[in-house]
Amino acid sequence: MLQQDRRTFLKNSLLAGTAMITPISLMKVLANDGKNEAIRKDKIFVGVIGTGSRGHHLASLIKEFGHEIGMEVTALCDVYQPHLENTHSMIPEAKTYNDYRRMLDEARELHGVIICTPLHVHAQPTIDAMEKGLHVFCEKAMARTLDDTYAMAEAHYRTGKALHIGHQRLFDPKFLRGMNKVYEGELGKVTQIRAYWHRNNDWRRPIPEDQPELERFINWRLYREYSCGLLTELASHHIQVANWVKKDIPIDVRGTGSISFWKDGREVEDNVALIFTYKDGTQFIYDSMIQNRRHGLEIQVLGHKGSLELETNSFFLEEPPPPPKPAGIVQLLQDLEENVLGKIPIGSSSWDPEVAMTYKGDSVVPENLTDGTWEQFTGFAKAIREDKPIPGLFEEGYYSSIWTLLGQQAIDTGKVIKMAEKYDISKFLK
Amino acid sequence: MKDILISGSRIKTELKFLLYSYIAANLVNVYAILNYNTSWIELLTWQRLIILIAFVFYITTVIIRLIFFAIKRLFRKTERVKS
Repeated sequence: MLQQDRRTFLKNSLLAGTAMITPISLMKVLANDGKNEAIRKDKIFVGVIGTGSRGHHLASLIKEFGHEIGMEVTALCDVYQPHLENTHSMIPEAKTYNDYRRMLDEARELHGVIICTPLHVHAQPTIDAMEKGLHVFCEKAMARTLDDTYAMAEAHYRTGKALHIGHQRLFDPKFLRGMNKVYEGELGKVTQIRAYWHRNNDWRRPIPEDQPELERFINWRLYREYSCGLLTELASHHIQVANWVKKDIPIDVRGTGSISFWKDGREVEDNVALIFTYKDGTQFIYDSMIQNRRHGLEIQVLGHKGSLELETNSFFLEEPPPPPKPAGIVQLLQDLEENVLGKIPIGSSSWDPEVAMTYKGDSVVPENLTDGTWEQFTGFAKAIREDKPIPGLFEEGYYSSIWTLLGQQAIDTGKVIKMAEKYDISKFLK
Repeated sequence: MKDILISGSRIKTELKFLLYSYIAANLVNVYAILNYNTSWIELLTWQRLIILIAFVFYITTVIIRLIFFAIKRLFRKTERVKS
């Protein structure tokens, strides 16, 4: 990763001031990325709870780039010894634990924890850590149940500790700039958002041949007790972006899903479709599958003046600007050519099929250098140092998780689902 | 092989035709700028195309002159036969 390039880029081209739910503070956080020597000397020590694939990846990022923000991993915790040993071999100076409660009790130098456990065991470590006075970075989605999600929110507001949910798009330059375009009206009125996430694999992780009993433990994403599959693991990201675009949450959701291809004993759908409706009539249409990857992933924000395709860093105007006029001498030669050779009419159609525009659009940001995964920790470091959450950030993660779980309810019941009033957290914000 | 000799006056004449062609090409560019309301900077930035057009004009004058002298020579020959 080109550190200097990324910093300069973020500072100069992105952070020119935005006006959405969290942006100015987020952008200042990004612009100061690693620049303040005094801040870097004031070390931040974090523990990682859950050292599987995601936990290992985040720990490796902190090991590699943590010096930029003065962050170090000093404690690791996992109940699965192979994962713990794997990450410990990368960060041998970190203390290891098999019980997160022991880690919270014993590792007194910790300022924060990063929680990357399976979804159904996000809530308790998060709440316990905040009650111990630690700031928490928890991977998305927040929890397996609505009540656990709400309990995490309640603990966050009660303790005043930061609770960052791992929605890296909130720190992704192209999404930040894209939101600028939405809020400044460059897209006109946004009335539809479409997103999809398609893969072509069975979504399984290998289990040791001699330990088949670990199937549910390792492949927890495939079982309802622990996960809502494609919804909690993938859709929650795009639900967060849709809410961010609308600066609102949906009023209801309807959906359908099935296990249509990977009939291997899994309990979560491999094929889902949802429609979220916002109170101004905007529809957010989402689908996800894991048996075809032709279209990959995308989120399209569609307004009456323009469109964004944020995952691919693209912006399109409904009325593309005319191409610049060629030089006078070139126009003269073109006119001469046309007058001499003329045009041969070969008939015309009375109806033009409404196929997609061939205009290739513009880039949202000039260079797509980062996806925001590392930049999240810049924000987390800021929250720890200031001992307070970044305003608005938690609410993005909270409502994304709530509406992800409501989407699952819509699929399960076949009904239109609304959010119960008890999950509204605006009462904490007054 | 016989040497071809080009006289000084011929070179001078050809250079004059080349200069007139270059001036004419620039005048065409001025006309295009006025007609299509484009930038005067094109007088400088499009010089490569103007030089190309100047050569096209020059070659055109060469062809016209060759045809003219060929016809002139034909007439002289006819007059000489009659006398």
